[in-house]
Amino acid sequence: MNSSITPTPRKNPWILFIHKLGSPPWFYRFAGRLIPYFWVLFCITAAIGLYLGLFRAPPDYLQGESYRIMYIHVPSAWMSMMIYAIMAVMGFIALVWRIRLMEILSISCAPIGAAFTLAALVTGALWGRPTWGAYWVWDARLTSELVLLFLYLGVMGLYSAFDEPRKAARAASLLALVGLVNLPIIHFSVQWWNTLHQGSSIGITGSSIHPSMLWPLLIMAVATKFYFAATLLTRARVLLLQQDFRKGWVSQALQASEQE
Amino acid sequence: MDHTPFIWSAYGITTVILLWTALAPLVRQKQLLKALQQDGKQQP
Repeated sequence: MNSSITPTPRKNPWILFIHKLGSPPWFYRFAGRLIPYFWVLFCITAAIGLYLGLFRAPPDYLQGESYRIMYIHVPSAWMSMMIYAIMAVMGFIALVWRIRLMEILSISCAPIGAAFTLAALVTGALWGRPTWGAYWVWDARLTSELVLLFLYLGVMGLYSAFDEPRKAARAASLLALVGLVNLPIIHFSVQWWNTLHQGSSIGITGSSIHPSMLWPLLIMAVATKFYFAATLLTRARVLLLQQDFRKGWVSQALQASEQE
Repeated sequence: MDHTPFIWSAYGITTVILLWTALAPLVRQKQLLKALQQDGKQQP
């Protein structure tokens, strides 16, 4: 009989954390604790960004006051693309490794991304009227952003079309992955085609925007990230609750939250 | 051309969209928790 003792290998704390995160009850509690912090951070950054953007930044020498729409239009447009990329990556992970929490997080991204895309389109139209003289033109940037909205709606619609949530998530993830091709089209549309929409003012190497106008924009971009984090975790918790309605951990979590 | 209505409309509409996106899951959560409580009461 072999009596040698082999020591248990020490597990990497990050891997342990990721394993824990995959557990629905643990994620539900963890997300519930994080959400208020994200809301506080969002309120602080949005208040600073809006104050600087609306009241402190000087008017533009060409566009006058209408450029102030930029402080919600640009962060919304950035978020619309970033959220889609996150949704597709999470969808890919869900498809390959069959992690249920990733399916839930991926599908929870869709309504938030659709909201930001709608906000980008509406604010763009309201900026376009005084600047271009038209609310809408079938310009490559505007059209590809509209396609993005349809993709988000398609992902949401496809998910709702199935009764079985895991099958629904797989189908929605696949569509999200296919739609990923639209992101480079949106980004490079202003370079590939002759568009009415202006080119990028901010790049990796620098920005052509004056710092007094740029800082509020960057702060608003950070604020929208906190908003996204808070709403994503809230939506994921609700979807988890909906799917695991009859499971024991849900009533335990409810009792624990009532005691707190 | 006065740009003020365009600016405030843009901010107003975005606020409504983002508020709706944030509040809709909370309403659903409230409904689910209420249903769960009723479910618990019905069970012996």
